[in-house]
Amino acid sequence: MSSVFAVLLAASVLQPATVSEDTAAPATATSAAQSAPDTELTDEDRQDAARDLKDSRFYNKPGATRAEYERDWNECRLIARGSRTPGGVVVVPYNSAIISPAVAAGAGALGGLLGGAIAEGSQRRQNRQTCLLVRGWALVDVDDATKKRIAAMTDAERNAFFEDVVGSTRPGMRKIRWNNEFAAPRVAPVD
Amino acid sequence: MTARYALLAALMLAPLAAPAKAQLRADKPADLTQPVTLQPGQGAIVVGFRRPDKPSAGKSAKVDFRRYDSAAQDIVLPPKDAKETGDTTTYHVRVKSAQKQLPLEHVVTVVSEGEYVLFGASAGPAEIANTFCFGAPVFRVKAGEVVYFGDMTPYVFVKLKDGSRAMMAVAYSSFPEDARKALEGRPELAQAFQAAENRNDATYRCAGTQMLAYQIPAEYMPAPPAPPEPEPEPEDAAAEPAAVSESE
Repeated sequence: MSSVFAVLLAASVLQPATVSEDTAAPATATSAAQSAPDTELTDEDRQDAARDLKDSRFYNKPGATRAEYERDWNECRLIARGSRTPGGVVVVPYNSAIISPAVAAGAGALGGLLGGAIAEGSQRRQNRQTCLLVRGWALVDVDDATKKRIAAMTDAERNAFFEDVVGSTRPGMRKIRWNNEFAAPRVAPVD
Repeated sequence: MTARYALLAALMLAPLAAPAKAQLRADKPADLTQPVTLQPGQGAIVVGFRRPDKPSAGKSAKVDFRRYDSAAQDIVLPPKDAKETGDTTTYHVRVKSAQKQLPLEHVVTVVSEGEYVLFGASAGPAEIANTFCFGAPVFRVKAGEVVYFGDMTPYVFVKLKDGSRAMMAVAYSSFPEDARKALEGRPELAQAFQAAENRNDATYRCAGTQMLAYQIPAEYMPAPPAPPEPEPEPEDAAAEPAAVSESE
């Protein structure tokens, strides 16, 4: 009996948070998604987006504006949370198990712990980063000299710097871009 | 005695009288040692598992597809009462490699007609925990068609050319002629065979631990349709009066 329980327990931990037919949508599934309202960003949204504009890392897309960065950052946050589709449709949580990786894993106590860690931890940040990279943003790998320079700036100087640098076309920045590595890995030849 | 036979006959005929079994999730490969019959409204998806090199040799893989709605830009979920109503629509397709020791194998899965999007994939024994919601290939399966999606090559903790390692990758390639040959023993499938007209960048709601994009490399994408031939100008076009003249 205890072994059966152990197996069930282990299964609940290992169960990935993917869509399951066992937790099917209601008959009105298609009406569960609505067009995203074209909402203005709040000051809080902008401040949140600024969390990824720092001396150690920031995003760049040549020709883009700070406002475009803030919009994309906030959309990617919502997508990574599972509350909006990449196509811009708001997802109504008619069935939380299908929407949120965190809630999906949270069906059981241990699953909840795992889901919470995923939702609040690095995976969500990683998903947000992937979303931005797929949208054409590059994550700048800041060199030590630039880090020191940014760290020494006043708030106003830093703000002006990032206003410019998110859309800068200056060469010389080492950038991490999205690549199609899962589908087309550049596998090293093996002898 | 007669009643007993009648009861037996009724029990034997019951499955035939029942509505078609729901196939909300198609996860069983077609048995290619037997004739494969596609029911009305059904087609099939063919996936190859290709292991061309040492890092992929002996690795298993799993691939998930979901029913897709291009107009809604989202996956289609089964209605809540799908099982009760005997819904025979396929909403979820799970394709698993079966013989990981082979350099190449093909798995055929019978599905209901419709659009399908690549949803997730894993290499090795790991469950699928990713989703390609940021952009994935989508294709259509029409009734009576046996549609080859492509070949998947599993890699686990594989060394890359830049010296780093990828924890997992499931590489895409397309070799339709190999797939066609694999079905030669089943003429009913071979004659309905065709390569999928894959289209990249289908997005949908994100429901997976790791959210990714999966793009079929350009070398495997179908060639774009040729632009339409320009219509020849009529010889006396210059003499024609303007169709609309501005009023003075």
